[in-house]
Amino acid sequence: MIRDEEGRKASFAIGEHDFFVNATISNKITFIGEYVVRFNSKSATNYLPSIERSLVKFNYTNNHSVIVGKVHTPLNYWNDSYHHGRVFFPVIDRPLGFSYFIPLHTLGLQFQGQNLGKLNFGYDVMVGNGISSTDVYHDSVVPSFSASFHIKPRDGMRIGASYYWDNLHDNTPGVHSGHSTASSVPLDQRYEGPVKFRLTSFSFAYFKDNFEILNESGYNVSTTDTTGRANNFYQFVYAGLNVTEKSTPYLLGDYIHVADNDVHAYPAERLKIALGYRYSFDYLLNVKIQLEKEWEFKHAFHQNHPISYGGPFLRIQVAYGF
Amino acid sequence: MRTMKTWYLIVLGLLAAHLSYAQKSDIGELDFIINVNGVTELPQSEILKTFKNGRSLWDSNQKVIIVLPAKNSSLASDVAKNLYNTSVSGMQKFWLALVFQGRSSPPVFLQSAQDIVEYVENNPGAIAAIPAGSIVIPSNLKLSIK
Repeated sequence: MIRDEEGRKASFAIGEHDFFVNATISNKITFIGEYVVRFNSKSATNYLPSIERSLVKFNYTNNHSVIVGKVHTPLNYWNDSYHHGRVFFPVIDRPLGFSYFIPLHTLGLQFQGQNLGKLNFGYDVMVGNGISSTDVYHDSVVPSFSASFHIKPRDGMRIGASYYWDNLHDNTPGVHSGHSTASSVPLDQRYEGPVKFRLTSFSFAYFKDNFEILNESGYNVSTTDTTGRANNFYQFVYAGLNVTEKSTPYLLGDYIHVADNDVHAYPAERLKIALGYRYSFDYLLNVKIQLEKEWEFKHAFHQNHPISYGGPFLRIQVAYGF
Repeated sequence: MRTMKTWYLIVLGLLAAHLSYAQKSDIGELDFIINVNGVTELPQSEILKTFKNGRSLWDSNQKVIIVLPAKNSSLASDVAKNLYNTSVSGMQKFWLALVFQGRSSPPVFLQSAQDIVEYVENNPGAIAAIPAGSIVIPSNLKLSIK
């Protein structure tokens, strides 16, 4: 059963609609935009638009570029590859870590290299507005910093690691965070002091015609003067078997752990396991059917039901592009 | 922690089981067309890399423009199979994903061999692949495998 942001149940839900623009401005300069319209009951029209990516890319020499604008922070394979394109998602949802740790967007300056040498080495180094910022405002003069590296040693395989550094002035996630302080935490009880946020990520992706594997791991440290150092981590594993070009049964496991002394994401421990099936009518249309069960072993403000969380649910998603 | 170890073992096991699996593209079944100053031949590895988004600019600083048969072209399946070792849908998905990631400009997809030759001829930086013998390629546009 699907619930909206106010907890109401629905049998059907219309998802995000993602408009993508790729334009060649000159021989070396391109523009990329990604604009999403999604349901929101608080909007007068029941929908809200957002600019998810808007960037100008200058390819100054072969395979090296400078990018200016709003991007999906290139910290892991998922965020750097799928963006808001559900038709590319191998499963229905993003990993749970996206709701707690991943700084989804960064607005700033990025240096990018790709397909360098025999291992197809790539790098993405970025300085920009951090977790607490909006598209037009940042809460301090200190930018966030991220550096990620990957290799593609063979067709379909990408192995990468990254590091993200941000000092939040007042622990206020803005539009770039992709995550927020726990929504169930009363506003007057939320920590509003500075937080040192560090995230180390590791990705392994191997997508072949006959099988698919994706592993996303992350280790996050949030440090404050009052609660000290909180050690958190997440782990997502997906494995699919392409029985035919169109037919893919799959498994996924997704786990997050937020330490008891964390006051940015707030304590949590969740596990989700799912068995699914994806049928691709074409590369532009697929249906995913997912039987899933989720456990919440710990939550800072849900002491009354510490174990059971959701499911088993049978969920179906139709994703399309054109 | 035990759960994490189990997951890592599963991933490593699947990786090990497929380490011997290698892509084999048979580009000898294809003809290549190019419009780049001074380039008439390239090593096979360089051709493969170029068609897999491994190069964004030529040495002359011209932008690399990939030209391929459209998905409903009769030429598409041979190119997809011999260049990308996949189906036409797989080839389209490969490029759509790269473009959506922002890591490439989209290729130019054209219907016929004649359309492809004419496009390459009129666009410096373009490189194209078609099934061998599809059309007579002008000698100044022919790319040989070194």
